[in-house]
Amino acid sequence: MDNFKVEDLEIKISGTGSDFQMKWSGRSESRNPGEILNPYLDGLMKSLSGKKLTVDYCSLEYMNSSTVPPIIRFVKNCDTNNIETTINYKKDSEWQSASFKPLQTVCTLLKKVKVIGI
Amino acid sequence: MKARIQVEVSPVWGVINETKSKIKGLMLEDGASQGMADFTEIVVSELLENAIKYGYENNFLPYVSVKFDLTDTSVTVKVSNGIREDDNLDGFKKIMQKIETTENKESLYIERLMEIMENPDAKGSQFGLYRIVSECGFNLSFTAENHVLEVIAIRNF
Repeated sequence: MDNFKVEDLEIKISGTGSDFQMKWSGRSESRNPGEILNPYLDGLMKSLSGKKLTVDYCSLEYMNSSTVPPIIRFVKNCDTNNIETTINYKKDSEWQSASFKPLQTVCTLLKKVKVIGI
Repeated sequence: MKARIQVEVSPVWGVINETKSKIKGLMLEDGASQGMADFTEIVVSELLENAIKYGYENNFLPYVSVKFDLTDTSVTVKVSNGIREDDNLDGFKKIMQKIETTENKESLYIERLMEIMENPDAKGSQFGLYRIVSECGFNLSFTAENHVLEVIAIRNF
């Protein structure tokens, strides 16, 4: 599985067997992040199907509101593809708590996805 | 704390980063908390993004104006841009009306997230204004007159 680097946003994916880690870092502030994020994230689904995935947003420094739909699309696809997904955010960061707590609420509708502040 | 910036910028994407970085840096230098500086960065960015995406250069305002004012008791961000009477402006007014008439701003934010969950491929997140009031805790108001829209975000400490 390939890593992702466009402008100031980087996504690194690692792991073997049934356990994978995805780490987001930098800043997502392009005009239409979905244009570049959706094809990349969709492309991972086949390889991750049925596996465990931890998504780490703790090193993400900034995201604009246009980044939210690709993230939601991604977590919904993880749920649909039976990927047991844990999303971690940095609870000491005020902006991350404010951004990811609502996602935590929405993700209670999904069976395979949980969102945790660490 | 006391800081003030007023800039007139071209409506191009590249100015967003420069403007918000300048304001955030000024806030941190002036003793604002990291959290407040981060929230203000989000507010500046979301308002500027909207101005650039949906605004129009016209004879009344051929640029985007950003005013930032930090005092001991509040932070204020005002972003102005040229407008036309069109669907974008109607959509903006509807969202603002929803914000003004809803006591629990977080419920609007969650509702919008649910809509995105239902249809993540819909065009335009239409999410920035909800983010400003719910995530960042700013109050929003606006004026739309003489072909100019001014959006005002204020947070009291």
